[in-house]
Amino acid sequence: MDLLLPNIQVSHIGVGFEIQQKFQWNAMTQLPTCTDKELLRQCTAGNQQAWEELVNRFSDVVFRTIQFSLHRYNVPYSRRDLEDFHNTVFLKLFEHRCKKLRQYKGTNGCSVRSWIRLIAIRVVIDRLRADGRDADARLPGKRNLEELPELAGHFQDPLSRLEAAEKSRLLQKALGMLQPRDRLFLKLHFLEELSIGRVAKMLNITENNAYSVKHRALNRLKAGLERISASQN
Amino acid sequence: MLSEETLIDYLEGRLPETERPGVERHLAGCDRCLEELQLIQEALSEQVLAQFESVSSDIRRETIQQVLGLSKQPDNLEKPWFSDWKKQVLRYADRLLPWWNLRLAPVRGAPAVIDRDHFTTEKSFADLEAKIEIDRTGANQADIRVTVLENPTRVSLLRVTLRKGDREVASFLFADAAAVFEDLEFGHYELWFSLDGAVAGTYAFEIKESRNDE
Repeated sequence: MDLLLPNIQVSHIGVGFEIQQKFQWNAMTQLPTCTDKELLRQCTAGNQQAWEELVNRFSDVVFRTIQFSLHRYNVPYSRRDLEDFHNTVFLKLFEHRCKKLRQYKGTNGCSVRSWIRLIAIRVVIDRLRADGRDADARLPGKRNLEELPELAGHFQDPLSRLEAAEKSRLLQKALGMLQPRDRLFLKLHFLEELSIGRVAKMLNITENNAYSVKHRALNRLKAGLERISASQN
Repeated sequence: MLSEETLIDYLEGRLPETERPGVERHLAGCDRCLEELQLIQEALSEQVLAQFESVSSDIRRETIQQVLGLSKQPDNLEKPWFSDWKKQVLRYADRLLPWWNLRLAPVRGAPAVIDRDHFTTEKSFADLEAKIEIDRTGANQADIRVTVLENPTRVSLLRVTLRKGDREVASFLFADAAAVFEDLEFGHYELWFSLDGAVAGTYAFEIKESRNDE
């Protein structure tokens, strides 16, 4: 058995004499200049100077991300609210022995900075939901995909003689039959009302490709609708 | 819910092909994640964030206080982290030497050899390995000897400095691959290693009288 496990070091001598190691050994030292990943390692190892450095390093991006999120939800806030959110985000990172910090892996290249941004967004959304300030916790003006006249408008033929509620139901069924990618596209473009260009960016396809996806998705949806209404008659 | 990394990796096109369908399937159904996708896409732009107020130093300070306060809570104290390791180490230790007052700290580095009045540890940085030996020479006195184990050609560029608080106690260039600091009082010290003028590593420690039964 290994006497000393990784990250653990005995730091003691016998009676009368004692060495206590205070900080983590850090080749390439100096917390302010170490990489984000290295800083996270220091934090999860319990180095409290690193904890402080982490807050200092990401405080501004967290603070701004919080404001951005609240703005997007059209939620009014005070400076006190911002302080609260700011505290909550960092406490979430460090509590339970840095449980959240330990989750970060960076395997596919996600930066710590981006990662922390999304954590801040999630904290804001969670709090808004819990407070009931935005009970739906949806971005303003959102409804369900199947309720959108913009979408239903594409399918006059199968849907024209139907009541609104019936239209929705049918659409919902047909949407469920779509490939996830098609459904995702329709949600982003019609529900979230993102431009084709923006959707293309999100799905990592070219804009031309996005137009094809839109065309294909709508065709498939129409085919699905026709199939369903045919089977119901 | 998707992990933060997964969502961002997907958005930035770094997710492996095999994982994308699963994520898209999730996003097609999960409204919450879809909203987050939209928000984070905007928030990733420094330009978007630039229009907002920057954080003030007192907000930062307050948060730091709260965060440091976590470490005082039972959930976050060092002891529970290592109590299991401690039991294992103590068991092993009994076979080697009589040890008292074992305390563990989270540190990377080579194992320490423990004796009554002598402490040795090895630290590596850059492509060098330094051996640090601390000997108790009296009631409130110790000597520190630093040896460099590898790469003699680089050694001539290596300087080791002993600092106590703000004060520099002594500094040596490694001519003979050994630097000795003698007659040091107990207290808080730092050994700074610099290679060719740039700091390569620091080792902070405290030499003190031990108390029994801790």
